[in-house]
Amino acid sequence: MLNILIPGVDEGVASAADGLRVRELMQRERERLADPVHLVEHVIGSPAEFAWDFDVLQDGFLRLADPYLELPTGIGSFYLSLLRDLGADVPENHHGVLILEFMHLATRINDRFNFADELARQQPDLRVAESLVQLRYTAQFLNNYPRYTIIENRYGAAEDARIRLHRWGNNVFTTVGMSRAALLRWCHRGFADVPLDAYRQNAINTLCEYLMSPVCVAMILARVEDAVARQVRRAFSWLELGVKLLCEQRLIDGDIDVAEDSPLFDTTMPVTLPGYRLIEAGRQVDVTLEPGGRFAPVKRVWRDARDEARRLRGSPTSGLADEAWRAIDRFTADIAAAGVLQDTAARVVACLNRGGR
Amino acid sequence: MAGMENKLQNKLANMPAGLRQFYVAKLAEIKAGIETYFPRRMDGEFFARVTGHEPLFEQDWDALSGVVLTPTHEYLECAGKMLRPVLVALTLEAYGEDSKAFPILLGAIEVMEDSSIMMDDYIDHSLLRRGGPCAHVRHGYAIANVSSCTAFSLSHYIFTNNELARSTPIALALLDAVAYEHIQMGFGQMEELYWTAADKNTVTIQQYLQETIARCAFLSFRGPLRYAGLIAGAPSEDIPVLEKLGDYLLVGYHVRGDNLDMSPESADWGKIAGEDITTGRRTLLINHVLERADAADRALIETTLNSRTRDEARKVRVYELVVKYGGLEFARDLAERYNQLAHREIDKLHIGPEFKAIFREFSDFSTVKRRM
Repeated sequence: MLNILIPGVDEGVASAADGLRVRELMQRERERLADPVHLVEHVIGSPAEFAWDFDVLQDGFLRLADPYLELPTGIGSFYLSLLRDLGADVPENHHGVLILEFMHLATRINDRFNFADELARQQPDLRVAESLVQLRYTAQFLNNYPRYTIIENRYGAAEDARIRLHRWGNNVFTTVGMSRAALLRWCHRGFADVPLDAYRQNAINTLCEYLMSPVCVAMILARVEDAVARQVRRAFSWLELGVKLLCEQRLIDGDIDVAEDSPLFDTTMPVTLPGYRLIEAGRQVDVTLEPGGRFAPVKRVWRDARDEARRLRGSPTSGLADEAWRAIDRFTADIAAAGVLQDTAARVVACLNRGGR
Repeated sequence: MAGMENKLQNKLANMPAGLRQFYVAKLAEIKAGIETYFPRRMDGEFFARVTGHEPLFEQDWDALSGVVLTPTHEYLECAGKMLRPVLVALTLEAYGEDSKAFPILLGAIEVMEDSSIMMDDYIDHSLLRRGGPCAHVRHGYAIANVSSCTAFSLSHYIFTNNELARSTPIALALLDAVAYEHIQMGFGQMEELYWTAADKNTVTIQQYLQETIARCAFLSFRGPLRYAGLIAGAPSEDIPVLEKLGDYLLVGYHVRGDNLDMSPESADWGKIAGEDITTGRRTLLINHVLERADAADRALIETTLNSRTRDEARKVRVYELVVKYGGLEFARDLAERYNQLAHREIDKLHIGPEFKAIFREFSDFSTVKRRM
């Protein structure tokens, strides 16, 4: 997934060894998710006077979540490369991979629910809604599950660092929620009257879990001082804006293609939807309802936005690419001022540059 | 005004005198806390507070407020019983704190509750909540989900930001407790949904009670009791007692609620009666009857639940079978048993007798006496 945002990031920023390590960690955790002993001893606790029903594990959880779990995110690898750049690449800190990967996997599933055409109807079928709700709640468990690593302090971290990890997990979930809130409202209204500044900030919020989140977790565990961390966060906000806009440009140019039946599709829509071009050109998307519909389906809005943005390719010069590169230049400058993560920044920009400036 | 007064009187119906006096005294504090803690309109300062981000650009505050904040405010305006913040206030004062010094804590607990029940409503495909349309009915499933998830998450900023300025060990203990409760909540919810989706008719009473505790304890009532105990500096030996008390109160409270759903006794009961039958939910009453029913009655119950019917006549038939097999008496006896278990835990707490008395009344009311 991160390869969609930053082409070549898995080799150009992270490494093959990082990818292997993430696979190893995730495979081990996948086995633990199916293990009642692990769950009782470390995660959900003993039922004392009552009883858990572990029949739920295969049919009520893993069968539903596996299609999303199986596809790599790239976020964990990126995180490991950040740890290395910060001089904090020790095995204890690798548990951060779980928090980051599981949070994004939960987002994938939540997006399946949030953007479901079936639920955009006046009267969703009860059984269909029920199955989607059941799927959505696997996300609830996935998102919270890895917090046991903080409770058990698998990181060997000081108390204040553990507090920051808890806080960061909550904050990034809230930020992603905010991004989906704005996106839904704008989609339902066909992108009418969306302020460009609000769109820019939403681009930053949308990419939070891909870029900002791994760097913040890495900085917490690397004990980066607050003033420097703040500068880095600001720099990464600019990076998120630049990356999002370049992603939109690549979609318009036909360089991104995710199959609509892929478990990734729903969660790629927020990052690829070419809203900047629409807003810049003062265009809107038709939100006429389908028979029995209550809202214009988000998938249809995405397709129409893509098609409209492509139709605009021949029209007066868009500021999309220029603004993207200005944001990336701000990222580079701000990271230099922060004095950390220089190597990461250079590699990221090199990957982005491969597509041509 | 008359309607609001009626609603309050309904909440107070059957409430024991000591609890009633405490409860009424706290309502204004809770409402003020909600207004302070959870704004109606988002701005940059609030956004930064709940996300830890310093935005680079001005945002669409109409969109964010309308989607993230408004649905929870709609629920808050049709105020529920507010038992959870009352319990928090009671715990704070029992351990020597003045609840007036913690308005945002009382507000936060109620915001957590009201943002989370939006999810309960779309899980159950309910139509009404507290006499008004549920969020997914009013706003659609997608907005209800995004709103509920985001508002629930941000409502914990009192803990994530250590807004109450507790010591580092206490601040961490609170966050660890919140994390644990949320993990359990996720697992318990998966169990419930799995049983419904699989039309599973072999759920034991022990599994049902554990699932109920896991799914609900984060706010009913173990979570709030533990948080309040930690915040108030309760003796360390009282914390596990408060947790156990919370579990017992929850079981009694929930079992009482199952009974009320099956045979609502209050005209102001905001949800449509027999919703559990419509959603195919394997509740305590249903599990009890399935264990005892003969083949024909069992088949009728299973067929009705599996059909997800809203047909009132069919739902009444299930209710009649619940009565036939002693389901209501079983649930009533179970609620009373857990009420007594709660009383036993209350006796262990290192608090004054006047507070023990109110705790006992809370237990009696929530598990046995309440009408809604």
